[in-house]
Amino acid sequence: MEKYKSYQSTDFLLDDHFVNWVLAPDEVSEVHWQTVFATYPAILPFAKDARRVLLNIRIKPYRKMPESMREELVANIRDHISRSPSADSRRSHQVRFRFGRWVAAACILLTIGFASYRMGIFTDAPVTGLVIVKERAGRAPQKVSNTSDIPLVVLLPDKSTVILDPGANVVYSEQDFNQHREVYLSGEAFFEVERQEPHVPFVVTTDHFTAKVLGTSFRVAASETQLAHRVIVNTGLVEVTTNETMLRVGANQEAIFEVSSAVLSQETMQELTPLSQKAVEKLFNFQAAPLDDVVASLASRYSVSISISDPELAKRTLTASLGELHLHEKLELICRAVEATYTLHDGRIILSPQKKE
Amino acid sequence: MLWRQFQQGDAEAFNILVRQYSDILYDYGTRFSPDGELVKDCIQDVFCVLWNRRKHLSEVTSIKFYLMKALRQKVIRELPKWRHTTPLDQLRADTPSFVIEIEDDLTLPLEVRKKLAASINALSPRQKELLYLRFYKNLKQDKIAGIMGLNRQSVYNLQRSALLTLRKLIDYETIAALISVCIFICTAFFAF
Repeated sequence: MEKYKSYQSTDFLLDDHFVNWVLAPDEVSEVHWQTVFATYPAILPFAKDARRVLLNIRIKPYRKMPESMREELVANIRDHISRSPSADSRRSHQVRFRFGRWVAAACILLTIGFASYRMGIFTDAPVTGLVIVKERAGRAPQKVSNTSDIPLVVLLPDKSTVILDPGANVVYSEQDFNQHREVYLSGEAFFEVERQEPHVPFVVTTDHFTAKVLGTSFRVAASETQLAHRVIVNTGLVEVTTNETMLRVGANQEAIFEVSSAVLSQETMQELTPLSQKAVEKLFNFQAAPLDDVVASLASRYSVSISISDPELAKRTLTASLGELHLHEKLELICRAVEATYTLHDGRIILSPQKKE
Repeated sequence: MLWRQFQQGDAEAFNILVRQYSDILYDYGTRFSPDGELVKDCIQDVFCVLWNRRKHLSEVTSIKFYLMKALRQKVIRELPKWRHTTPLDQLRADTPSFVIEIEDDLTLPLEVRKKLAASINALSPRQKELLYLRFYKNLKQDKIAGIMGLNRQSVYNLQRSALLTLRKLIDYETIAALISVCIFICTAFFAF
């Protein structure tokens, strides 16, 4: 009660009890405030002032959902319910890894399908792995080519990952990559892009368009094509620009660049992309699974080579939900769980037991 | 009651929930974006996720609170995709616009009502949203903090700044109203 003694208009305005009494008085609050004013009559003018302000703030109702829309909504939800399995085992909460940092580091996966005629150039090259060429001119860009016949992993300086398909190559500048996140791509590749604060856009340039992405939670997936170049998005937003057109591509959508007509168009994917949020929630949910299986599942989804150096290690089990994470985050988490380390050797991932100290 | 039935997988109970909260959510969602279809899609998503996760939800104290919070997050995440005119670099997911309008008080002179509307418009989106949640939805500060993802102190500060702005204005409004009354009396006086 004592605190009310020195109440001014502002104090009343910010007092939840007072506001509730003004807006929706009931017996209890009525008694309470009458007692207050009887005890401290000097504050009554301030209370009246505050009351006047509050009664002026009457916000108009805005929009009612149209009846037809409500029926559509109810029908769609009914449909969803009947299709979803009765026992929902979609999400395991048994072990929730809580790595705020990782969840915060939202990502973009971006795949650019590029006309396959380019790949012919590499058929005579030795089938080994990543070929890294440093060009000394200017900002010293680095060219990484995949001359093998399997997709290989490239880790960029900002911790973004590129999974390069056979025959593809990327060019970027090692030194100032964190300031200018620009990659030139020829061929087909799959990008998982780390979010950066302050926002530094990540730009992938090809011969026909640029794809610009920011750090809002993105997932993008792969597809193969011959006559059209594509950008396929898992979740989030990618901006695709050609000489003439700009398109924003959202979750489960793709931008298609028709090479012959040079027309850029946008389509919604009929099926969920292989690494879309919905797909990975189910896929990367492991319950006491042997490392062998977990690794096999990752390797097939990302189409990368992951090997385990020690048969004993392969038998270790883990329970985890890895859906939201980037490939390299998934690997780090797995390694923690089974006490292992992973290394990137010539684009191939190798898991080995942690050395005892 | 309805909530418990829904958690046990009662689809009919869930449908009643959907109907019951559709207007509240639509009113809230369309204040972020005039695109009704976008808001409808977001509401649909929120309910579908709610259904899928029903077994993992604890007894919810306020369904309205849960739904509004979920819808807010969803709409804010979806919005940038639909705004094609804003450059990608300038899109800020955390500051969408928000629309509120004050009921017209017909006893006030038109001039004053216009000023009042202009001042409400001049508030920041967050201030507007706060006024909406506090005075339209009648939610207390701790619930508002939960929905808007702010701590209590920030909500307090936000409410303070919004109300002080309005208070200054309403003081002005009283003076203006008084003056117009005086003018009316004087005119009436001289007319006779």
